[in-house]
Amino acid sequence: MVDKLIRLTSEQRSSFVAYLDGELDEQQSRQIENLLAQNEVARHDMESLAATWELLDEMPRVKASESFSQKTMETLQLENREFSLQDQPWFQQSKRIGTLLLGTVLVLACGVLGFVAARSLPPSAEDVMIRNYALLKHLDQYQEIGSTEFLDRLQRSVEWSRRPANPRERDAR
Amino acid sequence: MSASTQIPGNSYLSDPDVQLMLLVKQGDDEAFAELVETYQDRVISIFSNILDDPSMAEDLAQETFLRIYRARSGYEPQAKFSTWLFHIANNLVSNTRRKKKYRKEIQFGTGDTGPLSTRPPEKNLAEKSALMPARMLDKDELQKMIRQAMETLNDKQRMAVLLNKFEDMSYADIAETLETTPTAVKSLLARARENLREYLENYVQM
Repeated sequence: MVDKLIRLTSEQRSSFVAYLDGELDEQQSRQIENLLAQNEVARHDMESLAATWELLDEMPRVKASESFSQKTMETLQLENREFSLQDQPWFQQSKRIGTLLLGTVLVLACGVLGFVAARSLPPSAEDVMIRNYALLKHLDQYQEIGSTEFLDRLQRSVEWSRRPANPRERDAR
Repeated sequence: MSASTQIPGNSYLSDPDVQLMLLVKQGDDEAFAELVETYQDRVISIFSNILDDPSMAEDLAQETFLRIYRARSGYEPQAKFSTWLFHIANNLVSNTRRKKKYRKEIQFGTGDTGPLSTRPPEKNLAEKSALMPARMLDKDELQKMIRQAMETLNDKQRMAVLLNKFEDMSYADIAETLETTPTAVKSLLARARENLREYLENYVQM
């Protein structure tokens, strides 16, 4: 009589579900069946587990919309088309040429941009000095003279125009 | 057209859906349409019962089929077709859950204290109608109670229950779908069904 109401172990309870699902081997099934025959608690447990499981039959079974299958097939055909276009040799070659062309255009554009940028920048102090090197070389002499009026007159004078072009010839005289 | 890429000794080749998938691998889109027709309601039902959002269920079902189609060229039958399909579906559920959780955390912060979180509303509803036997609840109410009972399970338990109940999958197949062992599935389902019983025992007629 005591056995009929004895509490179940968690292992036995977990085996009940497996028994209901037909997942136990023959020996384990026989053990559970013996327990059910002797224990009222076990019987009640098993019955309520089975009844709850049956209750789940009331769960709504959602159906796909009528257009689901068609939409799915259309989507994958679209994907297919994109894939097959990419697989074409002419597409691959055009892609390669396009990439090459784009690269060349980019390099040229960078060159032109660099050139324009360099030209538009204001010259540095060093650039100015290099450009006026000839003047700077004799700056001391020009400063000694003080005025360019004398030099201008000298350049316009007859003596200056008759002077020999070669300095050695001038020295020989 | 017949599937000529049979692997000798592969037991999965007896699965007619595996045969269809092998045809898909060879470029037969009609075979794929047949697979979509066969599984669309079942996949949508699973997503719908797990996520409780019919429009998202259709989107995810479509994504499941697209993933299968995209994988067609490398397909080798290493499981039943349905096991493979529901494995992909399960991954999509996990990803969706993760994204949803991330969005929720961004929206509300990670703290779960506050007046709204002290007591879930479904708990109140369950307690209010706890004394009603199943015969007194109409179908809609009963479905609501079952949905709430299912919501007490985690995603893995819920997926295992749905595959076991509606796909009639064995523990071995569920284990393969959920990437776990049959022993783990046994205890997963035992816990899940014990939870369901606790929640629903007042509504069952015995």
